[in-house]
Amino acid sequence: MTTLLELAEGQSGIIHKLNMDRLLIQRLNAMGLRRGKKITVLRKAQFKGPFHIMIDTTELMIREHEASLINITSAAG
Amino acid sequence: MKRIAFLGMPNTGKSTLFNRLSGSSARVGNWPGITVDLHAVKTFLGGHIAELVDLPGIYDLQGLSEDEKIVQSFINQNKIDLAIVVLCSAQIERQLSLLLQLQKLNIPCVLALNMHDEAKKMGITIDALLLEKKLKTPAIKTSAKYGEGIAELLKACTKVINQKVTTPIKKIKPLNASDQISNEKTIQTLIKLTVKYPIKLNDKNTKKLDRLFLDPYWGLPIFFIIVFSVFQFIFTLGKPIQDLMTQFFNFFRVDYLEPLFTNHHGIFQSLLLDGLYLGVTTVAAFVPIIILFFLIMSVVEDSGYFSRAAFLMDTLMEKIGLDGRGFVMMLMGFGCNVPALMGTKIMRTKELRLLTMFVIPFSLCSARLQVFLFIITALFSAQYGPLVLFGLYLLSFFTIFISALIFKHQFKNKEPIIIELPPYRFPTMNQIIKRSVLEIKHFLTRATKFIIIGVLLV
Repeated sequence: MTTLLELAEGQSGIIHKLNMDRLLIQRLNAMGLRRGKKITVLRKAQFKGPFHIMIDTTELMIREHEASLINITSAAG
Repeated sequence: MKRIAFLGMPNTGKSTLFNRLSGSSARVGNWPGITVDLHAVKTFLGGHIAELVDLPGIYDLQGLSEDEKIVQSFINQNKIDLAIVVLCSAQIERQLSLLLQLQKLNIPCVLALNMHDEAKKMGITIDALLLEKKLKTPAIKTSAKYGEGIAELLKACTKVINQKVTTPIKKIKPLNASDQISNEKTIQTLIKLTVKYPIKLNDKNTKKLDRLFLDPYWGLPIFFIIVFSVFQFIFTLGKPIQDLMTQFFNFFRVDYLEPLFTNHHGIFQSLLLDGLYLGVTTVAAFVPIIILFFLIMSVVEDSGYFSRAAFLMDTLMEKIGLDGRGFVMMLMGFGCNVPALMGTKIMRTKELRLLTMFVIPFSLCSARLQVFLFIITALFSAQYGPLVLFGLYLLSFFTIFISALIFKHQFKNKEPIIIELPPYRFPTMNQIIKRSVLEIKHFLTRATKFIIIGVLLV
């Protein structure tokens, strides 16, 4: 099992599990991050900075710590 | 009286739509939850007096952020006759959940499929009629920016507001897991039926601009170049206009006012001419620069570039215990400290909020910019003026970083930080003008008093 943290720039994965409490899960769901969704890392900032990710048509900025809480499975393509 | 609430997620153009319907000019901004005070306006709709209320943008009816709490208590404590749910058409898939949650409370809703122009550009088509049938809620395609679909939206609102409501409105209760899953299933089926996505999304422009603006090496220099050119632009264009205004006011004084006062007492003349007149005209001469400043700032703000600035600065901000949002508030502080301080209300944790509030007063606000502009023009030549001003801003940033570093352990943040990066949007001329008029009014009322008192004392 890998987390979003291990994805390189330009790689995609399928969200398998959000490892956090229910309220935060609900918030991420509302922003488009939910189980089964394809997530793409568009870019990573230097010096362990934030990730720029895309789900459907939504683009978000997310920090390394939060990225490490998102479990993903590999996506075909 | 009927109460109509505007609800929607951040960055859906909710406030712009509210402005369209209310005729007033509330601020629009491209970061989460900018509407901090509730804007409300009374209007006439379908034979009723209706009160339109613009609620803060939220992602979810549940939740514990300040904005979500405001909306929750508003819904629980006020009778809402109609909720206009505003969503960004291109993101309909994740934004319908808010509507479903409201419907569960038996609140009559009208759905505004806003920014349909943007969705169209991306090649996304929504079958609004079918969606309306399935949701049993009017769904109207609108573009608040270009004023499309507004009449249709009002018509739908009138119809709904004149229907008798039989089921009592419920209070917000926590969603249990099965509700959430059933909501998700409903949305998936609805989307499959009514929305057509293109094979590849056609938002090349945002992608291209991001490649440039978020470049690992060039992003930050470009950011500073943008900030610097804004100042340069204001100086080179604003200064001659300001000189011209000063000349005109002087001419008016010498030729018309001074002859009027020749018979009056010296002190009286000095108070009126050197005090009041000079005070008012000093402020008036600054107006062109202010207009320019806010014109450009509003374009930058509404364009979505601020969120990118937050992304660029987050690495650094994280190290000093702040977040990108705090950075946005700091940037806003460079416009005016007061709304920036009020804006920290949206920050999710007390610690982060306090630390941000602590450093905001170090940002040079536009009222102080006036004083600096005044001193710089008096002391330096036009050639060095922009450089000196830029230096002052750098110093201001530096002070902020140092003080945040010193105090970050007192205010430790443990909340997740996730910020939306909306597509780049360029405001229309109409939006820019409305916005600058508001800013100018705001500035004039505040600054005039201080400058007059200052000049009187001199």
